[in-house]
Amino acid sequence: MSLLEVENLNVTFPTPDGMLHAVRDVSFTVQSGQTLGIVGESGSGKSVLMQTVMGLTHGARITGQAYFEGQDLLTMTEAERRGIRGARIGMIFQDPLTSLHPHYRVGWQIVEMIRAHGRQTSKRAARARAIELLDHVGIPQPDQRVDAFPHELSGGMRQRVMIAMAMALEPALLIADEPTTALDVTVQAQILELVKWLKDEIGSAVVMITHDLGVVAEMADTIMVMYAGGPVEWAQRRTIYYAPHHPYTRGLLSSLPAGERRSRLDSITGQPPSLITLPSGCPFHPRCPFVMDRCITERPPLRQVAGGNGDGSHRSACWLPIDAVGLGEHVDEQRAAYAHDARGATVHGRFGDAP
Amino acid sequence: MLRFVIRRTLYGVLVIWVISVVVFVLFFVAPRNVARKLAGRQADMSAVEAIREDLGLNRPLLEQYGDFLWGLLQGDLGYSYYSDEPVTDKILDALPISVSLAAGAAVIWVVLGVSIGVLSALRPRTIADRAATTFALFFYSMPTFLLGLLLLYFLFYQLHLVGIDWFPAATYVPLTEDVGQWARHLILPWITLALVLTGTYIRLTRGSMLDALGEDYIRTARSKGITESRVTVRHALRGGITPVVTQFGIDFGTLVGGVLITEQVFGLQGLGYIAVTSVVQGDLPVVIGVVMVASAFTVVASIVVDFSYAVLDPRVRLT
Amino acid sequence: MATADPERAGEPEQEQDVVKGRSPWRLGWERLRHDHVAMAAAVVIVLIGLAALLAGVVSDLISHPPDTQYREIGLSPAGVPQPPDSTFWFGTDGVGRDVFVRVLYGTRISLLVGIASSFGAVVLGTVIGMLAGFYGGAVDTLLARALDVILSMPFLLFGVALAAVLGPSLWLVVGVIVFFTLAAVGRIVRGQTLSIREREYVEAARSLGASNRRIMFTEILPNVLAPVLVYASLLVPIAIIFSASLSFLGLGVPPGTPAWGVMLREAIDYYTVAPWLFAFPGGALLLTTLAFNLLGDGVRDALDPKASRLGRAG
Ligand SMILES: Nc1ncnc2c1ncn2[C@@H]1O[C@H](COP(=O)(O)OP(=O)(O)OP(=O)(O)O)[C@@H](O)[C@H]1O
Ligand code: SF4
Ligand SMILES: [Mg+2]
Repeated sequence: MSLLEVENLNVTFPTPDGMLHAVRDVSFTVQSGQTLGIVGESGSGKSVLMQTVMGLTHGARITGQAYFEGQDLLTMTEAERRGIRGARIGMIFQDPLTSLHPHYRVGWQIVEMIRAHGRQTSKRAARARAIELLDHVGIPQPDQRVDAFPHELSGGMRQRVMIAMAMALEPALLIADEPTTALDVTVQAQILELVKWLKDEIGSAVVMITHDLGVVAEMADTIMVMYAGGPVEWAQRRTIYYAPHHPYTRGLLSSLPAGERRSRLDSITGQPPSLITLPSGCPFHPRCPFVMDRCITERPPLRQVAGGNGDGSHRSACWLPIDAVGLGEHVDEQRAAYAHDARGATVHGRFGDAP
Repeated sequence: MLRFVIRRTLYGVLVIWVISVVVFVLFFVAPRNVARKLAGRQADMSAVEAIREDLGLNRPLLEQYGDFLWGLLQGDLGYSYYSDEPVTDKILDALPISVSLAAGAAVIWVVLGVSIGVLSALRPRTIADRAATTFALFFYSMPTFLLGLLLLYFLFYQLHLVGIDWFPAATYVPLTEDVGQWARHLILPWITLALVLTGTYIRLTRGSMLDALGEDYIRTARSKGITESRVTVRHALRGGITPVVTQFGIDFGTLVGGVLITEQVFGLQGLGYIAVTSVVQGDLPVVIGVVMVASAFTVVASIVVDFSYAVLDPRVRLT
Repeated sequence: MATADPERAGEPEQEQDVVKGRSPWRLGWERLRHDHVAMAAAVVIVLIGLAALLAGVVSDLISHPPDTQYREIGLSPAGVPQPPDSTFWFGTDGVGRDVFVRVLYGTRISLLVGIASSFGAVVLGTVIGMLAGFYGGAVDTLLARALDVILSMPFLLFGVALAAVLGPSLWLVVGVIVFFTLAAVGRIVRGQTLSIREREYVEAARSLGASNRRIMFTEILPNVLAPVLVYASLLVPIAIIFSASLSFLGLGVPPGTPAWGVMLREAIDYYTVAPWLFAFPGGALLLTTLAFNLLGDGVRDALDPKASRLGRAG
């Protein structure tokens, strides 16, 4: 049994301008102790996806299933879900300053977490545990910092506090929603190290949300790339990095600073589409350098493509031939050539020239 | 901290001084002949002169102002032109009435306003929320005196006609005399004042609760698996209460210094009532006295409000 | 709407309906137009405006001037006001005047006071707030402190006192309201100006050598306009209530004027025997303030949808 199994999840928000389809047809699994990276541009629905799983989206229309340890999180009662939140699934967020309550001492906030799921724990014991946790996540002088207010700590310290809080009850799953985006570059690596270390220590699974493939480069086992609310590519980490299929993933990779991966390809141009009125066919087509006629009319399904271990674990939602995987100019030229044949027009095959 | 108190107090004193100048100029320089009025229509010039002499109105202005300020510093607000009573006594007699009125109403409007505001923010755009916002808007738009008249007509007069006298209209029974009667005589004025202000508090609480509920820390709180009621009260309300407290400080400070209209409608002789009466009579020392006392209350209230910021929000430093 | 914007005229209709690219004002207007409550309130306000304009005509038509005392037919033999009937639609008051005609005339005063004083407060408050926020330093300190003092004055009490000293008059009432409400506008504008002043485009304009006045009018004013407009629309009912309150205390417009506050004051003496005396002017007053508040809320929601929308995930 997988730890988390999400099936056909759809989330729509009614807005004054129409229905906003924030998450569409998302299915994935997370195994115990494994790390899943969810990658996509801002607004691609990553946060909404995981918050829906946690039961934290309000005012949305939700369909689909999300089994956690065999129980459907979406149909259980709020009280049951509450018992899981915090205790079995911990969550950390992008901006630790706004995510901690500005009016309460950090110790209070950790104690609240501990006591929410074990009222028998005395306040004194909970506080001692909070100090221990702060020490554990590498906060110096934890017995003093426990009484600090969030604004009295640095960004990195605050995120450590968030992590201490999320890990307090040793959850089976940790959801980290862009935990390093708001931090200084120097601190980012430390925080990622800490998450990895704690994860191994506790043995929990991690879902790491990010818009930066670099962040999950070292820790993800599997990666799901999302575009406009839906998954466009799913594969083992190595496959995503060395043999991507989807042009969007291809584009994300070329924006990484790592020298070896830099190619002639520029990063993706244009804006992500409106989730209220999605482009026809492949939602990526207005920005795709390999767009073909078919892309404009037909939406590509998530299908098995070549690469990976040949075990079917590599899937992509793109009409390009299933063996069009890989990096490098010659692969792009192959893609461009195929696209050219398919639509009978010149294809530049460069992101900068996307129509 | 200490610096804050000193600085803020000095500033408050300055504000009150400016107000005293404004008041003085307004009333002593303004073209209104009190002596003439006091002396009556038929009085001859000499009688008017005698009165002016008596009240010290024929002295140079600066000298009058000096006296006024000197008295003020000693807590002496002079004597009423009409009754010769010390203004301080008049004010001290009226103050308990205004305070009773404001305090009782405050309890009602805070409880009603905050609870309705919170409930309505929890279920935005539902029928209950719409009902609450409509209720709020209705009373927010309601002139106090109109509501007072309506309550008098329905709850006092119409009930009285059918032999029910639950809500007596006029007169004030001191709290020290009989608590039950004190409250009974104040119910209608309390309701009037409270309802009119409840609208503001519902709107304010709803708005700042909605803001707070949209904050990231609420999401964190929910992700911890604590109960929704705890999220609402300990997290959202705690985070959003500051503007409500601020507004309350200002409103309460203003009202203690005289609830003009409600007192007028219900004939309660509080500070507001004697202010209006003295204004109509031209009883300057009383008017000035009440205005100064009322201003002092608002100034004190604003200091308390600033202070409460620091108590409510650890990020605020008092300097 | 296809030709409302000359630059876009001729483009296909769809093009103009894209969500992006519409100016915030236009977007605000679109939202307001679809807000049924606010639109209904606007219609009521237009009707009230018509009543104000046509008060004279109507009074001529039924030949009941507002100040004529119908002591013969308008009062009972015992001198008691008459309830509403076919001659006096809203009944008569204590001296036999036609309440209907007087309520109609009352709309004039309420609208005049409401609109004139909110306009005055907004103009003065904006100027003061912009000056304080833009120049900073001593100017700012002085103006901000002055606003503080104004906000520390118990304003109804001061209004009463002023009215007593200077004698009752309509313009005095307007002046008092302007004086005590401009401080709030000033504060809002000052805060906005302070934050806008630091923005890049203002810096850019400055480095291009734009004069202070130019920056104030072209960069800052448009940006403070939205909050100020919202405040102005919410100020109208406040001003109307305030002036009616002063009149009710006998210190607003001169006694005898057909103003709602005055009529309500006169109604107190009769509230047991002639409830129509407070029902009609009171109802008119409440309807007016309600309509303005509803419209004001609509304008606020339309221009600042954040204020009314829920927080979002992400
Ligand atoms: N409560 C809500 N009501 C309406 N729309 C919402 C709500 N929450 C999120 N959205 C919309 O859903 C879309 C997806 O948002 P989401 O926050 O999941 O993106 P994201 O991938 O996490 O991006 P980011 O990197 O910026 O965090 C966005 O267009 C957002 O505007
Ligand atoms: S090639 Fe076609 S299907 Fe594939 S990503 Fe581009 S537009 Fe979409
Ligand atoms: Mg996000």
